[in-house]
Amino acid sequence: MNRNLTALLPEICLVGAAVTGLLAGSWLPRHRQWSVAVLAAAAALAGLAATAHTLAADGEQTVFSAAFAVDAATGAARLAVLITLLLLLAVSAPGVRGHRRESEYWVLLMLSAAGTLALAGANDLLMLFAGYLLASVPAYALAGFAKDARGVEAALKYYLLGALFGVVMLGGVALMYGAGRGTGYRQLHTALPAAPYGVVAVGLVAVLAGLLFKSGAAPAHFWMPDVADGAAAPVAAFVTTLPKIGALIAVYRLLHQAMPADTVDWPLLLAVLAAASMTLGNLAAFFQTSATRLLAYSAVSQAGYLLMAAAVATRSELAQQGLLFYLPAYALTNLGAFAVVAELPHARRLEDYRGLARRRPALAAVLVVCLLGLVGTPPTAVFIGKLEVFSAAVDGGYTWLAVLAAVNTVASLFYYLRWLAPCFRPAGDEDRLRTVLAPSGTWAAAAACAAATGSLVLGLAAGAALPLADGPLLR
Amino acid sequence: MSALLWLLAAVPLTAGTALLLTGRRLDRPAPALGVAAAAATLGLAVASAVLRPEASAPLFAGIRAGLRVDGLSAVMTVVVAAVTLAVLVFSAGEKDRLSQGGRFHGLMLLFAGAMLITVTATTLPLLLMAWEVMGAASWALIGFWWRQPQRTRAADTAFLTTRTADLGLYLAAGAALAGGVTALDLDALAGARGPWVHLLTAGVVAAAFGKSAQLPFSFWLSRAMQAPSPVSALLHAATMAAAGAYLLLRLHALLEATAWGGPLVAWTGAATALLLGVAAAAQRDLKQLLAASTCSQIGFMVLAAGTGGVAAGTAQLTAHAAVKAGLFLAAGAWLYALGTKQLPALRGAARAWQWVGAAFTACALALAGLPPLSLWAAKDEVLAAAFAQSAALYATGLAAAAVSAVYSVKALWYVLRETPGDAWQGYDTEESGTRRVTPLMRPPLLVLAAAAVALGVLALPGVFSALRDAVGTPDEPSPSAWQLPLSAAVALSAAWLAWRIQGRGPGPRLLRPAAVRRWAAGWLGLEQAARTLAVRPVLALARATAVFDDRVVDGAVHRAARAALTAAGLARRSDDGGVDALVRAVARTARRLGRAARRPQTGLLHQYYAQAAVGFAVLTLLLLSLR
Amino acid sequence: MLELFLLLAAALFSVGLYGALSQQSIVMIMMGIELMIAGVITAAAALWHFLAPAAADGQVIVVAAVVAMAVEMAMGFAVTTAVFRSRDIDTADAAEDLKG
Repeated sequence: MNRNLTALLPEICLVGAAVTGLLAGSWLPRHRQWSVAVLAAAAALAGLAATAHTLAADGEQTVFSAAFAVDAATGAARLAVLITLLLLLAVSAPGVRGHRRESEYWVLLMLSAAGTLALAGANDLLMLFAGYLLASVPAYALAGFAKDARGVEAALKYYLLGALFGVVMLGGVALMYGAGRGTGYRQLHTALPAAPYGVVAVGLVAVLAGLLFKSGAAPAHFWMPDVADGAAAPVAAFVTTLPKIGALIAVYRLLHQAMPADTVDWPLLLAVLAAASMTLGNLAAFFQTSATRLLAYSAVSQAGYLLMAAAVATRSELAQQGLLFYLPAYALTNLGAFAVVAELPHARRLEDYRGLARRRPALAAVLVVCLLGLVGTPPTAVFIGKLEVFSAAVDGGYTWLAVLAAVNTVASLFYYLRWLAPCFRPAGDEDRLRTVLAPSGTWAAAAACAAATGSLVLGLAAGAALPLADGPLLR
Repeated sequence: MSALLWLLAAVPLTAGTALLLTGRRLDRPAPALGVAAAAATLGLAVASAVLRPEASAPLFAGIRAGLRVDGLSAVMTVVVAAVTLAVLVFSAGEKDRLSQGGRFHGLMLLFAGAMLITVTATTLPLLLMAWEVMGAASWALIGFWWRQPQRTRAADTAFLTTRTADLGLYLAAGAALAGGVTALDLDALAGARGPWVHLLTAGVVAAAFGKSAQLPFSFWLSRAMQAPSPVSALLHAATMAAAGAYLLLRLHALLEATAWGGPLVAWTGAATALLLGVAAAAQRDLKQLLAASTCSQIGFMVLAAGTGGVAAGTAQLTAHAAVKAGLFLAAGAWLYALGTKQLPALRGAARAWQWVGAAFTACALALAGLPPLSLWAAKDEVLAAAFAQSAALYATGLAAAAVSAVYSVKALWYVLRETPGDAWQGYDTEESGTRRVTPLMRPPLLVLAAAAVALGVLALPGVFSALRDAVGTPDEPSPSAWQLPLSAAVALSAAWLAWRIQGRGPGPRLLRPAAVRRWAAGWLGLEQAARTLAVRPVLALARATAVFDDRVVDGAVHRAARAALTAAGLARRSDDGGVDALVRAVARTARRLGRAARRPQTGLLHQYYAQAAVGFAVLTLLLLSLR
Repeated sequence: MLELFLLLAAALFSVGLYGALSQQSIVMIMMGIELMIAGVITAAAALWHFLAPAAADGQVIVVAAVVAMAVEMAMGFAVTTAVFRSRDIDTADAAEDLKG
């Protein structure tokens, strides 16, 4: 059995930094608790270095009796999660600096990121569940971190829904264990064809329920708009971006590795889920007035597009490449938009953004790049990602799904433009501008610019980045 | 040598053009300049008549513009130049009535240049071009006092009539080209292949009849009398009216090439001479009488051309030019003095201004054909040629000669009366008379009268045979011994008869019954006939084509435009109703769905639970049912 | 025998699900969720014992379930307390500010 801990270096760094930060935070004076953030950033950078080394030095392996796989998918997930974590550290800084529990914020962030990485690399159902728990529970706490009425309501809904889906997922794990006589994907892959159909079907749906909850896909999406609306903007950025990365890769891995072909018709199931998510997310976003709620519904629809790749996981060669490129691209772009929202904490509604172009032209530019990037305008990265995923869907025989996705993409332009249009209108009075568009600091703005630039660079350098996502998945 | 010929054409043309282009600036010296140019032209004409030069220049592909002075042309050029000089001197005397001297003299010189080219041209295109310029100058000169609308209408009538007839010359040119006469030399036209030669002859004959106011075109000359008297003297007596006859004389070989050419021309000439003479006898206006007389006398020239009497026709042309020019100038002088040209009002005019009266008398007696004056000699030569063809022609000609004596004596009778006491009532009816005749008016009259008398030498056989040799028809018949006295007797008796009947007072008329007199006085109803037969159908056709254009052609365009507008309206409606409505329906549906999609998010947790549970249950059922 | 245990597990799970869906109080919802976890534990243990006793996977599921139960309980009570302190409510449906 491979017990090579160095293969898990990024995760170990994060967990270690989290523990250290928790302990240090108990003793650090309040004005010094920013050092925990620095520790978190250091851990993330270390993790990135380890990932780069692994990718360059061909370090693919499975560890701990194939419970965790370090391969192309894990590498992509690590890159995406760690870069997103760094940006999140920057976006959260203005809001949480000087809070009496500042160090716990950073710790919770690190723990949830570690959980996401565990989800992404899980090659075993139990590992999956463990990652789910580790990724979810800190997030519940983060949602209610501000302890205001809306925040705790958001935390309540997040927790209750997360608990329910977690239990259902555990039930699914038990059923799959009973059907496949084991929890490892290799074992399942060999044993499931002989298992009773009903058990496998129900078990699969139950496991997928938990993963769909984490990725914010319909019909497990009800928490996302409320949490994004109720929690602070950096937390909203976190919950719409980070868990999704791990959850979707986990879905892909589960379906590709554990489910043999021809046992259960899960492609159709995933296609229906994808269609429902993207349509519901888009339609509900049409007439939103709150910026974060709009972004949350947009995240629901993006989950739908991403599930398209999972639907054709075994049917198309392009699916993995598309998914693994789309996820980081989506993360950067979404984070950029949320960073702009975080930078302007007093502008809650879309109309509050009037005159943004005049007053903060850089932020307006970032907003344009990110929102149009979410639509999939070239040359942003999401355009390439969507292109790959659409091609994979057509290649895998789900042309109707691709058409529906294209229609939804076009329709989504409406609500993004509904947000962008007021930015470029002439502002009203200067007083309103000063109060509503008051900035919260330079970190969030810097993160926003970095995210937008990253999105564009990734889009332009897609040719170089895509081959990185093409390695085989290890079972 | 050819330079002489080009100069002969160029001098009047350039002088005329220069006077026209300078406008009003040269109005004062214009008469003098015009007379000088005319004198130079006369000199050049005499020189070329003596030297007989030739000139040629390329014109179109394979067709040249050629000028040549042979015997016929020599006579013609001298006649044209001399009459032009006389008339321009007279016009200088009338210059206060002819206010725009530059325009008048310019047009007259332009006309003279064109006429000179016409009589010396050797190719049809050049002749045609000069022919047209003559017609244009005639139109401008008839309508010289254009502020009076009746004069411009008269000019239009005259121009349209002659122009329509000129189409025959174009037709002839086309027929000649088709008939193989590719160089369009006038001498070669007779050699065209048949049946083109018939078409060629018909065209030439029609053009000649039109220009020379023969039947049925004679009415335009009546209208042309609206021109100033010098214009009438030059254009419509001596030169342009005679140009048609000249053309027939030049192309007498062509007339002989077809069987019907000569007889047609001869009989038309004879008929014109007779009938228009009758019409002249019925006129009360002196200029109208002279105009009808011109038609009649030119009829003799045409008769000569039709019967092959080229020298006779030339003699008639020369004599008539002198006689008629003198008569018109005298009429112009009395018009200038008394302001009227009605014969009853001109009683005693000859006695009041005696030089004018003497010139008028001499010319009138020559017009009557009394021996030994010029027209008697020329007419006899024409009748001799006619007699050689047919006796009927001779008889008609003789009758026409008698009639010419009648109307000449009629005019003479009036002016030789004593001035009645109430004569002043008839004066100043057409313009205000000045009661005097300027000194410059007299010399031209006297010269022309002298020529009218002196050209009687043409009766001498020696002179006539020299003329025959000059024009190139030495075998032309000359009057036999009995013809001369016969014509003299006929003329004298007719003149005496007319004098007696006139003298009997206003009661008996020369012509009865009254209807015949009215028909003759109205120029034989030719203009009304032309209007009914030609003008009205053409105008009706024009109106019909205009209606066709408006209704059908324009109508088609309007309908096409309406159809395009209707199609555009249809497209707009289908776009509004179809495409736009579809787009709006899609938007409406999307809006409704968008609002509906927010409703599941009720904010109540247990409803979230319920919806999630139901959703996953459905998915499980879906998966189970796919077994 | 396995079927009986699985039946028991299913009954526990169903009752727990019914409770989670029908209860208004937050704590009662949590109780429902706990019951569901109990059902899962029963099922996992039975499946381990009767189908794959050689490997330890089933046992680990049970342990993981217990851990999940503990963590969820802790989290749940923390959230309930926070909600009560902030909004003075104890039913889940009373917090309905965030909607649409």
